[in-house]
Amino acid sequence: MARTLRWAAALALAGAALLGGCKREEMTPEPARTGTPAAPIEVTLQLFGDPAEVGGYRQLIAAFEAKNPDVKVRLVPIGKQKDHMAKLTTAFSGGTPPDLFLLNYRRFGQFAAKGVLEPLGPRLEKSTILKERDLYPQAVEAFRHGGALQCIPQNVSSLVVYWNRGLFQRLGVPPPRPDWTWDDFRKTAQALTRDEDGDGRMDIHGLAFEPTLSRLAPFIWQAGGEVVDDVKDPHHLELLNTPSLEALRFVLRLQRVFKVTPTLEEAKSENHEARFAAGRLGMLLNSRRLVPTLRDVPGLDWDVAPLPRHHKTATVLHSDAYCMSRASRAKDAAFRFVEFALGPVGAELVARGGRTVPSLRSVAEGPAFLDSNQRPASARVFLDSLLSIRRLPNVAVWNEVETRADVIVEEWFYTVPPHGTRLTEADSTEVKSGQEAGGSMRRLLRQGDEVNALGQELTEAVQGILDSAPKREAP
Amino acid sequence: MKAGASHGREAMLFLAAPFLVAAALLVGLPALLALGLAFTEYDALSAPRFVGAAHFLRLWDDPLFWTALGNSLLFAALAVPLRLALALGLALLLHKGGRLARSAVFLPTVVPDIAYALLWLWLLNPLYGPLALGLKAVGVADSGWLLTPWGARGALVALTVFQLGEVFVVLLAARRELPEELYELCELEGGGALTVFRRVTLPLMAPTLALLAARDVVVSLQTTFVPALVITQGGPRYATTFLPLYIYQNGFEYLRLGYASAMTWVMFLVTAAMVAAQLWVLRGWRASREA
Repeated sequence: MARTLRWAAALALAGAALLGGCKREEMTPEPARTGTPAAPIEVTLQLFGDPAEVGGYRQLIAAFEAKNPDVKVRLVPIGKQKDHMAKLTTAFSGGTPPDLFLLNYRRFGQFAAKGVLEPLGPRLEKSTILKERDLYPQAVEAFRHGGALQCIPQNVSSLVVYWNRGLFQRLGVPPPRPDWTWDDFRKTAQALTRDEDGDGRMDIHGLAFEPTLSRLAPFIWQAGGEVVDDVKDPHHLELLNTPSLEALRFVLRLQRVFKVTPTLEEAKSENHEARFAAGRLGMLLNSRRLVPTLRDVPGLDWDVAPLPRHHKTATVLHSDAYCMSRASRAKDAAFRFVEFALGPVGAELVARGGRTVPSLRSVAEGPAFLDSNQRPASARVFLDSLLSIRRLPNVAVWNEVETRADVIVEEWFYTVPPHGTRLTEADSTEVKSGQEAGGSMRRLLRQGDEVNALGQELTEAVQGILDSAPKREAP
Repeated sequence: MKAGASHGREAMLFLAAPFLVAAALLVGLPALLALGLAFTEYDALSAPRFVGAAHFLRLWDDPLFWTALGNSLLFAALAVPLRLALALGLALLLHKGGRLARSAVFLPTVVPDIAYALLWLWLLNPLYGPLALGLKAVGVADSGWLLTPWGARGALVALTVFQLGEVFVVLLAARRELPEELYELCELEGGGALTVFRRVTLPLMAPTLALLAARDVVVSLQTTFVPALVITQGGPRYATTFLPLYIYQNGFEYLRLGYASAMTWVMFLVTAAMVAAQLWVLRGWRASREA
């Protein structure tokens, strides 16, 4: 009996220890005892980025803490955006979300729709350091939900062309012009693509970009098309109309006919950034986030250029914002950090690191961002792009739409039909839309054309997701 | 005698108690919670909302779920026999010696899953990986097959086949426990190696093999998660989207935790059915031998 009791006691202790280990961390700092200095308030900040990017945020935090000794910012850096999102979800689910976190506008809807974000608009209105009118409206608009500003954007980046100046010069290819067209773009990429050792495999590629829906979007807009029917309340994709098909055809011909982009094998063997840094890629489409990494590559001479235009000029918005958890118990301290990070001092510090196109106009148009001694020399391209910048939807299901779509876009981009491609060098603008093909949309879908296959498959894959979107709240 | 037996049972219960408590808290309770969540719409951000059997009905119409389930079953069908056959062969080969070789067989099992997956990511690099370079050296220049659905599936099966250390150790121990007199008797009667294997080794090791097969089916349905996430990201075109990965994507990328819970329970039931089927076959086999 005594032994039974001993076992029971041991088990009870083990159980208590186990349950104790699961107890939530206390988020509120203990009140200071009389006569002792107050313990700093801890603010957790979760974000994702590569080591160069994270290094910039560490500098920002150090500068903030030096001026605000009563606040301690604990950085939770995550390597990849997907892992950042998964950790955020589990943290919210477990009741321990970070006080602050950076979110891309294409992924913030699922949090905003559930009311777990502390709307920062009212705090911004009361701020004496930061005013909404000081920020670029293109980025601010992307973080509204139900008419209210939920998060405050830290950057207003866009898709641009990174080009290797050294490689252009070595191969005698003229640099990109500010008003270049699709044809100029394609010819430049062709001129850069070389098989230098004659082994049948290209040693230098003219162009590379991730085949994703967000990368295709600016081409679709440049052709006069649309990605969705309504960016604020999307009900279906618009990839089977004439302008969209023209854009998709142009992109596909770059890969299949002109062969200026790496093949699937090559893309899976070495990522585009590494290829560009190694000097074996002439042009790379990316947002501002690549800058700190490229600045660290010794001997690489590079710059940025705007995306080419077609019927229109267009690029796609890339913007992340500081969001605050509604459950945060350190909201005032957290907002002080946001004010500092996005205000003149913090924004300038981050701008000098190269990571962002600051959302604060005065810093973006000042020497910290446009520093001629720092690459890219043509940093103004990012600001000029704002005139033609457009955004993708920010609704709750958009993250899932893109995740599902990107698998299909990649497959479409790299997989040549078994009978070979029917695209040719000559058919640069010839497009057969549903109407021009002389039949219904159903007939068009049956045709199995390699260009419109993308629109068909994407519609099939994501329509259910778009249909399941919660009804949008009236602003 | 009765008092002794009762005392033994009590001692066993005490010894097992920590594991039973841990299993109840860490497996049983979450499983029950997951079952509850399977009947709700839950996104981890707001309170669960009861939706009845809607998720289970939705599974029926979700082509990706069927693809993932099919991929998982195909993986188990390929990997389990391969792992068992290879482990058995190695155990029979190395049961009398070869400490270095035994260590080499066991070594991949102790490598952490993420490190092991990253290592294979490098090995399978279509252009610069050792496998591609080796193939190129022997005249197979096209390593694009690694990016095909069957190439990717085959690569993941190969990857897990090398992590057979635990199965190998159990089979090694089982083989060493077999009475040598039986083998000597067979040898005296002129039985060849194949006859000895078929008439002596296999029947005596069958219970161990059956147990390992059941365990390996359970493991195979779950171990695909890390390599599929790290190496293939479920591609090409969902060819390596296994159930655990699809559950993870739904739960933690799309915030459909109720739906993911429903899938988890389906996976649990499929696993249980497969193990039950194996045990049923084994029981039938033993009954036929005893008859």
